[in-house]
Amino acid sequence: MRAAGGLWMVALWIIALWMTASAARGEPASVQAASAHEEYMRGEALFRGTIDLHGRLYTHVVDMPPRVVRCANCHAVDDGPDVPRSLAPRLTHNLLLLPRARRGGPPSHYNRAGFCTLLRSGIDPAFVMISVEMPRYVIDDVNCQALWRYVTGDGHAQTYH
Amino acid sequence: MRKPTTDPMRRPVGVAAADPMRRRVCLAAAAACAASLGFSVAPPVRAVVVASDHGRVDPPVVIPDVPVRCAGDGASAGLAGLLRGRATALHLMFTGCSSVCPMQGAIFERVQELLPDQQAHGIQLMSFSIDPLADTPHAMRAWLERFDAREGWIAVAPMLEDLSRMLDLFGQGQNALETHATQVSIIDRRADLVFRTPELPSADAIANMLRRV
Repeated sequence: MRAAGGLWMVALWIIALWMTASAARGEPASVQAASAHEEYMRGEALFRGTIDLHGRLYTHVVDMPPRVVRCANCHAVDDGPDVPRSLAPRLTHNLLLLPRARRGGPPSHYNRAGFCTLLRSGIDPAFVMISVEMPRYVIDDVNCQALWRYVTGDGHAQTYH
Repeated sequence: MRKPTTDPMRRPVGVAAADPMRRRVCLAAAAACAASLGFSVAPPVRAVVVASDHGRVDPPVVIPDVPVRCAGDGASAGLAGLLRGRATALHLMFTGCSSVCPMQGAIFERVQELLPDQQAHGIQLMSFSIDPLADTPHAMRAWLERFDAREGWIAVAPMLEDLSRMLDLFGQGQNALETHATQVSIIDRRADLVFRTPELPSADAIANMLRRV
């Protein structure tokens, strides 16, 4: 009995360590537990500015007001309506996930990590710095994951079913 | 190859001129000395601002006194008249723009925060519409209100016939709404354009320049 109790204790310690390691990797338990649909909805709210995003232009020393750094100010997403007179690319599953040569470089594509790197630093998957008009964001892993799910359409189907 | 001069008035004189080879040696030695002392042997060249460039505008460009409509009451005024006597930061915008123009507006909003005494120092901000057909005085007033514009920040729209000329002057010739320049033009108290910033400059940079003009 004592040996069995010891095994349980070891198992509990392993679970606790695994959860700590997950958090350290930037994957809190809440992220893992959130459903795709919930993440998608949160991503849409972040994209449209219902939930504030914080960002600044890279040559600036203070953040811009959240209302002027909303993704939806410049980007259309998937098959949604155009943003009039904006040159920012429409964010679609294919644009982000299919490998393609960017600015003459070798084929590259976004993944979640690359997308978050772009948002935070302005460096795209081809290691090119994007234009000055695109703000650099302070965004945590939970929100970045949600935004990624929204712009790639992952979880969209569950919105309607 | 330049032909040797035959003009007696331009004929070289002096010891070095007597022997072309010796002259070349002397010139080379002089150039080496000058270079070692940090002087440039190239003739001085005045800085000239070219399209798509930014920095000091030398010589300054006189702003024409074209008629513009002002936000709010729609009063007509001469552009140079609005600028003269004030240090002005001017950006191009249009009220139907949702992408970069709101950032430009937020930058000017921040400039006003940094310059609470701007009126006392004769400093003004000017939002210059590049869509005069859509940007009515009322629309421009609403646009200013979105950014809590205080006194000393005005918005104007040119007449349609002057638009292209204004885009050449302030926008480096970019004539599409989508690609309009986001530089800020710094205009001195004589209504001369004296500086163009890089794209989307920081409020701090604009405020610093306005204090010096």
